[in-house]
Amino acid sequence: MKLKEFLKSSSFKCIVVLLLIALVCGTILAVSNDLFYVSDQEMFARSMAKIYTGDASALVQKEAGINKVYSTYDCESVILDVRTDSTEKTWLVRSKGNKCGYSNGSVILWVSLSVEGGQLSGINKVILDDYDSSQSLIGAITQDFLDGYASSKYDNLVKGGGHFTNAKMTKTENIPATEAVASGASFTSKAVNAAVNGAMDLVREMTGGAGA
Amino acid sequence: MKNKYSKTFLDGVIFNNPTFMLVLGTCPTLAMTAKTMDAFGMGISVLFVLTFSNIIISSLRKVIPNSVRIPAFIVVIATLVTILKLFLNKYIPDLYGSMGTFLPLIVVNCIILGRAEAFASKNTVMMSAVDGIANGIGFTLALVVLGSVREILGAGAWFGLKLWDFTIPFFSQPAGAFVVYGLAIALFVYIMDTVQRSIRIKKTKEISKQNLLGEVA
Repeated sequence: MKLKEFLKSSSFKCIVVLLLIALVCGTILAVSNDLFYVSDQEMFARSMAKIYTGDASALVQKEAGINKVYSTYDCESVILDVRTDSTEKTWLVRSKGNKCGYSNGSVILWVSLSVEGGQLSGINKVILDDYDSSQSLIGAITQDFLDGYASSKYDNLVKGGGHFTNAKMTKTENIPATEAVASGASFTSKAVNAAVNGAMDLVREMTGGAGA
Repeated sequence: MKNKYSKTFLDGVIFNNPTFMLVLGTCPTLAMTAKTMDAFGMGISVLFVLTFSNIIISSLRKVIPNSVRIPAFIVVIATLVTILKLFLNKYIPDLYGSMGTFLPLIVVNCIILGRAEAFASKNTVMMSAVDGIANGIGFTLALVVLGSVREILGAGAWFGLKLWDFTIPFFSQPAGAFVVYGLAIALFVYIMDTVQRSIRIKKTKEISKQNLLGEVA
């Protein structure tokens, strides 16, 4: 087929039409992306509105805690952000249950913890901040489920240096008395557990509290 | 002409309701109806994508070659879904969070591609817009009905407002979604059959009456 024939063919028309549609759509998406961009500050403000009742701008960032890695059972957590109030009685930790969700995916949580007498004394609230698209069972991680971590029945576990584990672990290993089953058997909930455990471990380490 | 629009509208909302009559878009129907607000959000999202995809595809129907129509439709629909996703993330983050993976999955929703292929690619822009709005409303109403039943029975609430403490958690579970959906289809089809039968009987009676009058005259 010669060039002239090709330029007149329906194949060429198909290519041109598809390219034009892709180009126009791409341009519209680029503009939309700019128009509806959510900045990190906006994301932070949204999360703080859900988890912290005080003035979020007065929180102090603890850079020493950022990027610390903790491991409980076979799942690791990475600390992404740490903030405290001026009295250091409330700690807000952005923790990532790293690569142990479904398809080695991750779940990011904000965990609010309280410290009394220089020791971790309880979990105030846990909220979901972000997750990767492979977490198909993320719908099961509702706020009611996350509120379970702040239940008073876990106060002794939190104070005593314990960790949360999931239902699957009880079938394969003997769970120590200090640990508690807090979630189902999904990989996503396993990553949620790891993120909460990492937040607790960080506060314990930085305050010199139990289980550090 | 007006009759044509109203027929298209009623077809989309009632007579060919995508959820109850055509059983399309089953995945979001089952997954997003545990709460009425989520169901409403999904319905409105589909309404937006369906209406604009129908308008765009209809206006490009003479330009898009037949052999590449499906990839062209998918690119248009995916663009609209991505814009919707960005918009919800910016302005309605709670709904964006609760819709989760089902928001990008609107791209492969059978109703949207089905209407693009069966209707928008063969009809005028105005008719396609009416069809998109009608099917979107039909889908939204169906989801809100299912969501209401499931939330009231499963959580004792409606649109998040607590009504009473009595709950049957089964209806909030995926299995409950199948049961409610099945019963809703059965009820809808029964009502439609009854209505259509009574219309037929009425018409038959009228014709018989006219014939009788004709014979008497």
